[in-house]
Amino acid sequence: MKTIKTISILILFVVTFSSCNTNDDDFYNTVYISVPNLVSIQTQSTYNTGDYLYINSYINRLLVEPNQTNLVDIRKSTNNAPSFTFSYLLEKKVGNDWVLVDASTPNINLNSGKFLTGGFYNATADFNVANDRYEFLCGIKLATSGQYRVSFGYNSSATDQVEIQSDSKVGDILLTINSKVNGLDADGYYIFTVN
Amino acid sequence: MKKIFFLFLLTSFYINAQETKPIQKYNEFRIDVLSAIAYGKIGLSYERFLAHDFSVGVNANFSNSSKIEDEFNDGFRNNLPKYEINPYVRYALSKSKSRYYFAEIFASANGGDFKEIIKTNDTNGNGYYTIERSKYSDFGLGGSLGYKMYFKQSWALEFLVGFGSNLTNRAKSPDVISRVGINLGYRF
Repeated sequence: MKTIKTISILILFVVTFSSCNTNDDDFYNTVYISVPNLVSIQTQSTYNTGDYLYINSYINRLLVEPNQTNLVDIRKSTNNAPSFTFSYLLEKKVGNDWVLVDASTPNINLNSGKFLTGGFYNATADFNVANDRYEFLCGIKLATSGQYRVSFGYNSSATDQVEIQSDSKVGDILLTINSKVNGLDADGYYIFTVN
Repeated sequence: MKKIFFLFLLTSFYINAQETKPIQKYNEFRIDVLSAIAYGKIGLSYERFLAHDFSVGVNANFSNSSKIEDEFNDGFRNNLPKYEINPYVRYALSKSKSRYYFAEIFASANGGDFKEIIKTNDTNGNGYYTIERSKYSDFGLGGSLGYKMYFKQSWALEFLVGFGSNLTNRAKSPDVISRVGINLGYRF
């Protein structure tokens, strides 16, 4: 009985140690690059109720990477990833709070790519073979007057940058492009008023 | 009652005598059942028993784990260990010869596949990132503690936990090497 108990304890002990992973923790299929202005807010001088606020993203297959002498082919790098994805928010000020604008189907005008709404908006720029680039263009209806703001920091580590990630297949390179967005204030917002 | 007590004492002495008496068999082969079951790794060991509680041996491991290969392919690890040759020196820490703790130091010659992301140019002069695979080999040192028990003086059950560090090619090889196993062996 004592022998069985000893063996059981030793098995437990050794099995516990056997699950110690000697691999250096990391994810090794990711490449990070920085390319500015891949996502734009299509701003207007004035906004009226019923207007749409459009966000676009046109990501050429060949990009100019800062401090590099040649262009980088993002489609080849990702083994022909079908799309790139990023997230953003359009919020309206209600009292002292900022509330996500309802961007369900009747309130959006999706021209290219895919759009999903939940706790934030998920934008997908699909590859357009004819134009040799990834494309997303979607407008969200500004249904009521008031103060609005757009931000891209929800899934990004920086407030003035949007994180655009390739939808790569498992095992292929996952390309993350950090892209500075023009028109944002120091806190990472584009704030505007709808009349 | 006295007779039973004396019989018990005699039996105890007999068992102790059995345990401390050296096993007159100097060679042992073992197979690591834990690695085989859990990781699809074949681990074979040979041990030669010397005088003064010392023994020397060599352990060879060959890995063919689909789980680890999937992790490697999916990017969750950048190396895929395939083989290890581990020579070792052991010292028995207990007086008993049939059940004892031991300490060992081991060396490890190990190798496998490695992958990294590199940037290269296509025929048009445009850059692109790609995953490049290569082989690695390294040499490491480490230490282990274990417990061994014999049944009928020939059949061994061994528990081993040890860790070491690769030394010469850590950019590609795993920093830490482990020697953890449950071995079944035969001494002859």
